[in-house]
Amino acid sequence: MHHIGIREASAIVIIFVITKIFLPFQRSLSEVGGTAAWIIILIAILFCPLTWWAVRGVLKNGPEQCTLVTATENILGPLLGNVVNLLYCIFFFMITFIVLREFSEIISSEILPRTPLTVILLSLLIPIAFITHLGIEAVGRISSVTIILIVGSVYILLIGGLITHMEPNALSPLWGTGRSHVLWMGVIKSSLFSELLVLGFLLPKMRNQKEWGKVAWWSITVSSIVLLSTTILYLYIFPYPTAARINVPLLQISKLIIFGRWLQRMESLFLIVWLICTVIKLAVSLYCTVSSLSQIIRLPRHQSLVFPITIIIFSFAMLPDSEMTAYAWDKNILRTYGSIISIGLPMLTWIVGIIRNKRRQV
Amino acid sequence: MLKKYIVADLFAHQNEFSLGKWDGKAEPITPEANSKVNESSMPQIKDFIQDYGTLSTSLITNIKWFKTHFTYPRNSGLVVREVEVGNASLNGVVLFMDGQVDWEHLDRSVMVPLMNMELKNDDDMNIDKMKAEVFKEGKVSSDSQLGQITHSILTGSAAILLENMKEAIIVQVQGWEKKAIESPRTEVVVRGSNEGFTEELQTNLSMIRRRLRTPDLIVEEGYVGTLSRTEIAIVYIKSIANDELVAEVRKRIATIKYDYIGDSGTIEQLIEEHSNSFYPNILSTERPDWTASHIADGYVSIMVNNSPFALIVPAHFPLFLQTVEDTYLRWPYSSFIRFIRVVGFVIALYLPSVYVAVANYHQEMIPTTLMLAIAGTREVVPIPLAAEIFMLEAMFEIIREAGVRIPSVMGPTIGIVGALILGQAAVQANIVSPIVVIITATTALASYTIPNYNMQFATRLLRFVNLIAASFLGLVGIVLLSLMLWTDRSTKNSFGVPVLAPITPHRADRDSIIRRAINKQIFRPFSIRPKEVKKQYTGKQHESHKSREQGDAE
Repeated sequence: MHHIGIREASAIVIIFVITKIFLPFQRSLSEVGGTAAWIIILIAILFCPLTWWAVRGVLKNGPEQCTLVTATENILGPLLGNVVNLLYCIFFFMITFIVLREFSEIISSEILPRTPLTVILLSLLIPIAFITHLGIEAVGRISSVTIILIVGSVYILLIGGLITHMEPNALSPLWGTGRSHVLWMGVIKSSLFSELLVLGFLLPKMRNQKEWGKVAWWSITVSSIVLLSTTILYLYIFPYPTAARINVPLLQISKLIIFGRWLQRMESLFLIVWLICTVIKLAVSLYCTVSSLSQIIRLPRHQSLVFPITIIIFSFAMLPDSEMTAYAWDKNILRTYGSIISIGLPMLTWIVGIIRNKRRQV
Repeated sequence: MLKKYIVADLFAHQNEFSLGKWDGKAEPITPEANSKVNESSMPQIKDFIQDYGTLSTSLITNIKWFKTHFTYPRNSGLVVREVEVGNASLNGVVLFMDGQVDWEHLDRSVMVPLMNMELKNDDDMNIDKMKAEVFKEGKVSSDSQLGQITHSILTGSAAILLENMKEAIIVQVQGWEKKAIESPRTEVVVRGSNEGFTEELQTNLSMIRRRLRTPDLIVEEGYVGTLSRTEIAIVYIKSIANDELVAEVRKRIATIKYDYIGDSGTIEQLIEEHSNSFYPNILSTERPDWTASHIADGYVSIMVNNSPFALIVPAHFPLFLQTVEDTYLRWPYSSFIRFIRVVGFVIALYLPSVYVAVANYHQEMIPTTLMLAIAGTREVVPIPLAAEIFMLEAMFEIIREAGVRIPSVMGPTIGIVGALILGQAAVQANIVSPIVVIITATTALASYTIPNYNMQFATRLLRFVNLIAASFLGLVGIVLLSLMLWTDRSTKNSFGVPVLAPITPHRADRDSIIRRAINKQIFRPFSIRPKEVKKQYTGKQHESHKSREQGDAE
């Protein structure tokens, strides 16, 4: 049986949420909030528990041993339930192909400039599909080992960046582009944590229900710290005017680092760690896509869908005209409306579940 | 019809045997769980022998049957020694295989007592009385089954058949040339015993028994191979080894359907979970002290006659980078050499591919002065870098394989020709750059830090696979390939234990990559779920209590 423990589940969620720090995430935040980019994240963090509570609510109101998908169908009925489930599936599908395209573009422009984009896309998709095919237990095991490497490398990078260059007054003015604007953006950008929806897919795979809370709080805490600290430190290393113009912030920091004459220009080494992180993230999102779809169409195993969905993802990843289009889709669709899927839909299902259960009792 | 609510993936049963659950901390073993263990038995010789019926009372018929059965006299080997027993002129025959018996022993314990036997009355023809009074020396038994008697003759016993008797007396008079105990050939250590296993199963078992003097040490013997009928033994400590594990080992040995078992290597391939895996799934060793220390930790050892290599199961990854010497050295030294081995393993696996990747795709990573030096040496070489490394690595593999086969008198000469002259000449002829020679040599040296022979093979093979990945996609290729291989590895089990345990799934372990001080090593490895987890005992706890007893005696 494919069961996972606290370590594995938390590692998956953390990797799934924090991978965006390797994409132009901090840049987009400083574009929106200026020197107050970190406040936007702080506000977004406040919304995180909502996803967790909603997911827990749905799972507890569903039948025994249910997942987010089966519980939603049970609560909302076959028609509406499956529409909502399909939205979850589409959400994960979009994460997969957009992040895949974004990361492939970074590899293409930064480390393998002469390799065609399709080759990079395919060579990323093969391991992703392979790992997804092995199942969530395998993803959990490899995540629990690599998480230390990933988080460690981020902090080595940031410390190295700070040693090389630091602007002491980077965070002033405090409210950046304006208080009301920053506050409103914080609410909208709660979608930064919409990946927490993956909890709905992971928690049912744990044998012990009492451990759900530990996984949720651990992953929320660690990923919040990583997201917040990378943004703050990025602003210290590259002050606002520059910060809003750099394409891939962490990659730029890695290029800056000089630990001495022999240890410099280590961006390829850091990229390797991020590559591991991204492949795991994409494997998780592909898993969620195929897992939700297989439950909607009542397949007992997810493996049979991995190959066809991978081909569709490849085709969709080719849709954006350029890196900037892919990035714009990420920013304008996923990171703007994501919380409707991750907070709105589970909340709605939860409330319906409570009402329905009360009616049944009456 | 499928259930309405199906949790995809969760109900996908893994048919594989698993030693407990792996999604959290290790659970303690309950007596109920032990009682559920399905006890299968080791295959015995009777499972291989055809039923030919029993002996007849006519001696001539019996002799004729054995002669026909052994294709006598065309087939040399069977000795049919017809005798007249004692003073009663009773006809008899002694059957044995030439070369399988010790002549002196045969004379002393069979021929002389048989000739001097006095048969005064009918009561003297009693088989039990004969066993007790006449054939007093050695291991004596009797049998009436033709198949069983044939097997005894083949394994070096003498069968005594007498007129009017429906049973044969079998006296064990085995004797053949044996190799003396020598030091191990592949697992040499500086500190520690210099004894290695021999080809003789009983000698090997005695070496284990000498090291573990507890009645709880269980040796279960059986036979495998329909033609070779090789003796096989599983060795474990009853009060420590997990019952489910022992039962699984027994079950897997019982399912072997193969004609010829030449070595424990054949058994290894027949009982492992993943026969297509690059990495070994079972630890093999020729050191009795290494085997005994594993048995004491709760592992199960499988020993095969005619093989100087014992198998140890389950074998999780860290075991392949450990040696017995680690236990004998103080912890800072052993942790240091273990760290060196891990570095050696990584270098053996990745160094050539990383060099190709960095020099071809990520030149910015190389400091300028070093880059200029590399470019300088590469300038005159006409072959692409990847091809250069491939060529030299392939050449080294040829030298390594030749080194094993070359007669020992010529070995050093060929080594010098292969390594020095070829390397030097290749550099002077501008076919390879000197830095590539350094890389290949370092990789070769690093691969010898891996203590296990099978694990060395794994790195040799995967090095080439990594090279291909690196020459196509640089570091990205290496990382993507490694991620696939390691994730795949993390899902694999060795006798119910995930091969990457205790790293992932995590189990507390003070003796995996870093070895803690010996007095801090309180517990046996949790990954293999021993019945008794505590290593440091007080008093007489070594021997099993009545309540814990699950042996045959009850």
